[in-house]
Amino acid sequence: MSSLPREIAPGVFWIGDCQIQRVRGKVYHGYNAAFIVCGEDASCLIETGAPKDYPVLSRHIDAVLGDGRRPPLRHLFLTHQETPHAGSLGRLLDRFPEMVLHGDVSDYHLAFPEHAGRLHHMTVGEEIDLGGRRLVTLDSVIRDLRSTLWLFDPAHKVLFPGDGLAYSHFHTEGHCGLMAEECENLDLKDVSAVYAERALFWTKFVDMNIYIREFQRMVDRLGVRVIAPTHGLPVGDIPRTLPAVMEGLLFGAEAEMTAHGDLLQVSAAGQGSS
Amino acid sequence: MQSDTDFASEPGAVTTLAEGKAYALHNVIALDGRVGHYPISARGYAPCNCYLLKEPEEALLLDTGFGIHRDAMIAQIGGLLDPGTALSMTVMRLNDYLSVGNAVPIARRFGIRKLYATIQTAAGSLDFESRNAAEAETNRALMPVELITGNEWIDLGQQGRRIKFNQSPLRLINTRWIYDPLSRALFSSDMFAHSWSATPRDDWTLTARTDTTTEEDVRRFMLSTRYWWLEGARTDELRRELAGIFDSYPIETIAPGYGFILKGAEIVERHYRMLDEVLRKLDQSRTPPRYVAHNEDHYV
Repeated sequence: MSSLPREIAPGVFWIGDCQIQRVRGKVYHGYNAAFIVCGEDASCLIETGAPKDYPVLSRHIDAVLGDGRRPPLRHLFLTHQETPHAGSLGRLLDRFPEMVLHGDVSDYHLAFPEHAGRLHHMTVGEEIDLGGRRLVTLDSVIRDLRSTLWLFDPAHKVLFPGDGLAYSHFHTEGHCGLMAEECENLDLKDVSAVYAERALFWTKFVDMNIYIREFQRMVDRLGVRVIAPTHGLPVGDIPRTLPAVMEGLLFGAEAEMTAHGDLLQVSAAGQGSS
Repeated sequence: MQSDTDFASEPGAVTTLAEGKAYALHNVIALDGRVGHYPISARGYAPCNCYLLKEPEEALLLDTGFGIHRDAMIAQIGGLLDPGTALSMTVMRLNDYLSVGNAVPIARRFGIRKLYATIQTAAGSLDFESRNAAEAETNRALMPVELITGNEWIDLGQQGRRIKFNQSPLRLINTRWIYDPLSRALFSSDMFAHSWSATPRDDWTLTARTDTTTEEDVRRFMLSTRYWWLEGARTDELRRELAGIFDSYPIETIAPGYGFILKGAEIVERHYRMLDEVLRKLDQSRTPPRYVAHNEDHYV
């Protein structure tokens, strides 16, 4: 197990917290991760975690940027509007009055009208300039909301795909804070199925091979070296790990739907069956 | 074009679904390309709809609206809630600011007897205010979770009224459809939300007499919004699940989380059949699957 914040690429810091997922009688963990990317003049926060994560996120931001060695947080990018990604948005905009929110900024003027003047709408192919480092928006190959954008750091080839590559992990196996290839006993098929069932319902009804091929094309075209998903452990060894993650995504899309809410898991556990 | 702040300064209209028993709380938003629930090219106005189901002892609020509508929502609920009536709450889409934006302010103002939810940590998922553990605990305590499976009957009040939660047969993210036998209303969350108005209005109800929606309208809306993935999908499976809902309950009103309310058995049947036909034609057996890029707009 490793603790966050953790630098996963030069100037790219992984922050955030896990949440418990009870599925089929097992207790998984899932990240609602965020990332800080530091340029020469400014730093950018990518995602804001779930609503409950604000205290942890705030602490992690202080740990990375609080001593002034790195540029201040002036930018925030959200892949999309769902609260596991945008849950701390209002509080962060309150805390950092100079920060501008970038991305497809649909709905935020309705959710946080007091911050409506700080929204910078972006489409595919636009950039956020951090000074000596830029972040570029991409089409979101694997998404739920239509308005989703992905982000890419060309300098160090880091891809921030939001819901792309969503899979759980096991706290009891010491997976928290580890890169995917550092984990022992990470059954990517099993943990991908959890997310597919709980959060990516649509993947169970489409031909996911189409989206997996498109994702691979993007990774190859850009020369991606690190993948930093919001709901999965980061991937640092693309040739070794990405095929297994894609296989897991395909498995998850085809696995039987069994997950329910917490109540059925509690009941099932009590009865000794899943 | 009128702005969202214009509308938010006054409580929106309230539609009676069943006198004294069920109400729609409308709050209008401007469609100007900045609302993710609608096609990017949609222009006009749409209602965000929350619903209040009332019994003498207890009322149940379905959804809490966007933050911009906080004061309007509190005024609308206050105007309907009788003194001494406890308020319970559920949110139809836990991840959507349109559903969850005002949960804490409403809880603070009225008190919440029960927050019906399928996860134990739901109260924390509705808190967009707390800055530390103490504040988080205070806000969590405002909304005691009543854990449900999301696929059962619950009792509302003490007069024998029951409300049915259903796993939504067609969804992007976890959501529930709720059926109220008393009003014969199906609260369909983000489904059947395929309508908006060119002009602001107070009447957000469509009947068979006023409805001009076509099957093509339904198809374009679905594919241009959160159901973009249906093209070439295994929709025949989804149709079977959808039929299960419409075969199980006598539905005379469809009440979506946004868009016009469909009132009357005739228009309900018509819109169900249109949705079913759209799904049938989009099935992989009839429409080849392809990669769908983000933000495809089927209106241009």
